[in-house]
Amino acid sequence: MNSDFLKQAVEDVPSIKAVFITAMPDCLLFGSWLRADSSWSEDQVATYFGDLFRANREGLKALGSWSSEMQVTIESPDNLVILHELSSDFVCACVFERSAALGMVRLHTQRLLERIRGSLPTFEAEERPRGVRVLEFLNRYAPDPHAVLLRVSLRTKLPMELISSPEQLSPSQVSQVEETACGILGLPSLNI
Amino acid sequence: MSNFKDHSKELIEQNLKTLGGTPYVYHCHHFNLFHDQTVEDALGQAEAFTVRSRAAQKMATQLIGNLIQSSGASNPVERLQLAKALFAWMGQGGLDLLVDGSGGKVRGDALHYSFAWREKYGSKVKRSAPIDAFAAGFAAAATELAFDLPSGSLAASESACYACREPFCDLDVATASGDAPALDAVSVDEDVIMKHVVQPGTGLEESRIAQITQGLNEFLLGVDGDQRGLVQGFGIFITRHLSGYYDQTAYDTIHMIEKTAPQATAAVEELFGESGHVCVFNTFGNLLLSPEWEGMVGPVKGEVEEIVTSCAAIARALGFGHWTVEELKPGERLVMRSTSNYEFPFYLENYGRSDKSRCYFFANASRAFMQLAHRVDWPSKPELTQDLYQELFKGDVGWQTEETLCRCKGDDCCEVVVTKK
Amino acid sequence: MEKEMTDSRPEAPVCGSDPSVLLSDLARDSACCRDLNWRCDLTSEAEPDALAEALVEQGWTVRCRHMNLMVFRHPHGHEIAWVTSTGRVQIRVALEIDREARPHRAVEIFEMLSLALRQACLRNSKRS
Repeated sequence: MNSDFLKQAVEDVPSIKAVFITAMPDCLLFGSWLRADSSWSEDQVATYFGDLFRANREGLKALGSWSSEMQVTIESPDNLVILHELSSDFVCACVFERSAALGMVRLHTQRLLERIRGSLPTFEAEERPRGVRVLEFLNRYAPDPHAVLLRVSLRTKLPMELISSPEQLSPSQVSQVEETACGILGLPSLNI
Repeated sequence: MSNFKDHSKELIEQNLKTLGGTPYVYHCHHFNLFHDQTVEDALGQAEAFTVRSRAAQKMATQLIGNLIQSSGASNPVERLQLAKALFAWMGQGGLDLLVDGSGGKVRGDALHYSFAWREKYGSKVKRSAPIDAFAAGFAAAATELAFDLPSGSLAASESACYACREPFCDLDVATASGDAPALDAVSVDEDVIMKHVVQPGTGLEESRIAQITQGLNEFLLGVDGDQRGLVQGFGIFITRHLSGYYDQTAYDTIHMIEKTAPQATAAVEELFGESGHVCVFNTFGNLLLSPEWEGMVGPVKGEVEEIVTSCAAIARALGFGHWTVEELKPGERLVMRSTSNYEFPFYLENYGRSDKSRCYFFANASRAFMQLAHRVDWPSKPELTQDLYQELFKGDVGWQTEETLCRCKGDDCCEVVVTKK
Repeated sequence: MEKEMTDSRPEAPVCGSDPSVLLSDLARDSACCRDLNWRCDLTSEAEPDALAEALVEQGWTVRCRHMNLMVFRHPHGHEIAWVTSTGRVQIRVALEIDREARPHRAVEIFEMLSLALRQACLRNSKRS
């Protein structure tokens, strides 16, 4: 997404620190705007918020209380974060100064989201190979990320060359890798 | 007996240490967890627990047995007390041994592996398999020795583990099943070490390295644990650990992969090597930033030569062997040699000559020296966080390391060449 | 957590009327476990024996005394390492303290050190 567009979109929004638009379901950064003095890594933030939103959606679905109009509000010591689903393909995270009044933040977020929503492309999302997504997920969440691919290779006994090209994994190898990922993360299944 | 300092011996010229005649080294929890995690990745958690606990049992039998002999502990109560105190002195945590001649229960409190695992990984991942294989093997060995049972006749398992969010660790010592691996590794003692090491050489900055090593040794011997058997030295969470445990678990695992899944050999070798990076970053790095270092050597300036030679001194003081800096061209190349280390004597004694180099730790620790020397801004006294570790060691490290000579292959010494990629 | 630290951080103490005797603010120091080690600097000519005496009165023991370094240990396992040649102080919270409680415990130790420093300075001025 054109960063000039986002820059214009936030121009009259007080106390805003950053906006991240995440493309789902792969949780990839689609567009962002940050204050000039920010040192945040856009890719990282967009990905984690994408995962967080997905987990929130699944949790609410399990409770039978999900609706696409839901938004997540996070009040951390330094920031006020609002996550909102723009469409089935995009999630937006707006980060405000912690001192901003919540009512004002909600109002401005609503206006901002309308502006952004109108300029989002519509497309048929192409799902990437599951093996690629499993390893990306593992890279994000595994302890010792520096060694995680080697650990997958050793646990599955699949050579590193294959693990390094996950799009080439056969369906049974993908299952093996996914089971290994669950083992490394201590999870019964992967929410991807 | 609660202070084992007097039983610790320094093979001064070789920079190796023994406790009750058994070689030991200092390693921090980051290394210990990573090393054992690699064994688990290769063998699966259940099989790895057996391999690790049997290796621990073998090495602990030598250590506790020698100390029982030298202390004159003659009855089960005295012997079990000695084992308990020894375990705590090693920084392995607290053991309450409620055992008799047929085995029994052991309660573990603040055991090093489970405590450290929960500290490091507990907020990130959930663990369901017990982790205290070292404590289990140690407890089995202590019970056998206390009641004069044959070595290997008992085995221990862990039924509750702090790493799995239990409040304590519970170990069960019982008669070993018929399929328990035999304790057939050959123990390494001073005589075996001297059979395989060669006359120590000298390298660059020898007098500086020797002087720092001596100072660090004095500090290290003064380090003692708290009442729970947790040892904090130089502000680092450390253990005095049996090098034979690392050697046997690593080499048995690598050999098994070479034999049964050769396509994964590169991964297992790289992971055991990676533990060298983990150790140098966490232990060496924090030691260089410690008040003890600042008081003894002065604040670190951050020059490449200074960092590399300091690391060589630290390696010697930790009991890793006589490591020398043969050649150093900042930004380009480092050549390290060792006439002794804690890897090759065990390998040669237990497996004989190898057709390839086998000092995985030495080779990769040397590479990490160069990474620390070139990429860390020492004068700013950085926090050595796991994020910084990822920045330095994830992906292409930028340095290639190769063990060009190895005693395991029959060479005169071990030599590692680190070059800029 | 960082914010809480700042809020609850004690004022850097000035001893007696000598403004050169000062403890700097408390900050995280490099450690092998999160929030275990903390640092501050003692920018003074504080007399090692007097400070040691004051800490011992609080229950600390001298664990190590080197030409340029003193390490004190608290009965609960905490440590204070003081590099007398550079003024650097490292506060080491005991390993068994839960991660979440470590910053608060570091502040408490810092306060104990500040108090000991005041007592040491007072004692020095009385003697002189």
